[in-house]
Amino acid sequence: MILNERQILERLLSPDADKRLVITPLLAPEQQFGPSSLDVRLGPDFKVVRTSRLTHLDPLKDPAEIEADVSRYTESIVTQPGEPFVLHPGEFALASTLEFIRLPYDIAARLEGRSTWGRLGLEVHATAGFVDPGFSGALTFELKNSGQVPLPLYAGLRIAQLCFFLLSEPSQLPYQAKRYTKYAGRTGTVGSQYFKDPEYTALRAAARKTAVERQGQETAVSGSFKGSDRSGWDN
Amino acid sequence: MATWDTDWKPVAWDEARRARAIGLACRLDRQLQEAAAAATRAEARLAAALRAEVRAAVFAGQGPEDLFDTLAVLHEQLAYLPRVPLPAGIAGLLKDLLGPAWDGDVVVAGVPQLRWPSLETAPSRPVAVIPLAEAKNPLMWPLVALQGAAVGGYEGRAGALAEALGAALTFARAEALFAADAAAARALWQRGEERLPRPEAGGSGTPWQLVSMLADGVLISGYRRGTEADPGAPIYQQLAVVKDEPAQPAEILTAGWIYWYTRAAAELLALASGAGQDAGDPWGRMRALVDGLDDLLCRSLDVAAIHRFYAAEGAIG
Repeated sequence: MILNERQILERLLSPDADKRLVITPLLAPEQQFGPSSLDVRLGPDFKVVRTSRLTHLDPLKDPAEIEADVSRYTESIVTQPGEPFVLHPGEFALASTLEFIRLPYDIAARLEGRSTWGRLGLEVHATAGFVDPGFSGALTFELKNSGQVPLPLYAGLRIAQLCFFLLSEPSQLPYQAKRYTKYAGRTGTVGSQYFKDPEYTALRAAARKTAVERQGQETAVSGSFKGSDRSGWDN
Repeated sequence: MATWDTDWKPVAWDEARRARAIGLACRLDRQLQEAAAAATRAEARLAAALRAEVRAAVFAGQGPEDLFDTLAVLHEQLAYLPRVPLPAGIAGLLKDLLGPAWDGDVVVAGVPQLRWPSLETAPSRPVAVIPLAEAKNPLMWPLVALQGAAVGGYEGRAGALAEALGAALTFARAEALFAADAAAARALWQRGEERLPRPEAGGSGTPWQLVSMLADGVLISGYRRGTEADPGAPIYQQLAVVKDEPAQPAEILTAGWIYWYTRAAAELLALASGAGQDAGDPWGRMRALVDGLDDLLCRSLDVAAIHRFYAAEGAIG
């Protein structure tokens, strides 16, 4: 069931902390509420990738090295009130909601663009628009300008909306309690932590094993070559 | 109901000093970690070695002065590592506090000296400095504003600034002196306590309301006064109940200090002394505690500035 505006309001005001939906700050509720949605605003911080020194990101490196690589190749920009961040056609940037959001365990949400911005070619997420029950923090925008003209974006603009879904019963595995959460409680724009997925631990181990085996084979080949060479010398 | 007696239960002064030193260690560790991310391989190795020394110093059980001295020596090594940009929020706060005329007339620089410069004398050049490890600790940013107010034609604003920031500035001044002049620091700490606003009934609309949000891990950029909507009222009237009012920087910082002295400092000391070690890596948890508070306060200041901007321009009714 999708919540209507009064049900969203009821959850925002719920005296029961387990049922309460936290969205703060709400600058102008009368502008932000829709019949079954709530507009959210653009935060002041952005992350863009500097591709000029980047060939690729190797997910099989040590996680600390990847983190350093990502940080080296990512530029963080924080705008002041009234100062634009210009997203040029075809460009991609990460940003986040101005609002801090906390979902109770029985509500999931979906982040969607607003038609006003869609008409200008602004996409607010590439593929990750679903928000799990129990999520707490700022939501990440994956901004892309698919239009033809540069878009000056200002912190505080309403560029997206959230709609809320009521679960038939509260989740027993809310986002905060999940063992492998990577973005819980973050208040600003966070880059991808893909390399922390446990699958990469297995992939790295396999890659290391292959490298050791290859090295062993090379050593054996080189040893036998040296051996034959030496035996020739000895002879 | 919030009252002075129930809500203001700070750590003892000696504990506050120790928490200050350990908090600095966490912040230096973060600075080294972030500098290493932009570093060459050799610089990254230096940063890793320094981080190990920071951690060892914290768990060596030194007193606050000795720990500070060790940290000061390690902090100087930041001169050899890539500079991490200062948070944009510092400039935003200066603009907020020094008024619209402020437009970057003063150079704000992160420096490898851990000791704060004297705040009693005006700098001879239009430069305000902040120890690099303090850059992401908004609780100490008022000291940058104070230096900024003392130069560049803003001298007249220093008094107004002290008035506007109240306890937040006094506590920051106390913490800046905690190792160099313990007696002066303690006097300032007590003065800060006297300058704290008393909680109103229910704690609504004061920094005390923000403290309870902070304890809940929620952004403290604004206040929500409404608690219930009248279902019989027109819909827009009902929705208006959840409208937030932007918080002022002084309120956010004061809430941060109250939270630090009444909750976070004690938690940090408990982790440092090994209590709760069975719950996992204590250093990681200490870092998470300090980073989390710093980030929440930074973000709250940034978001509140945007909120106030739209409120002032009349865009949000």
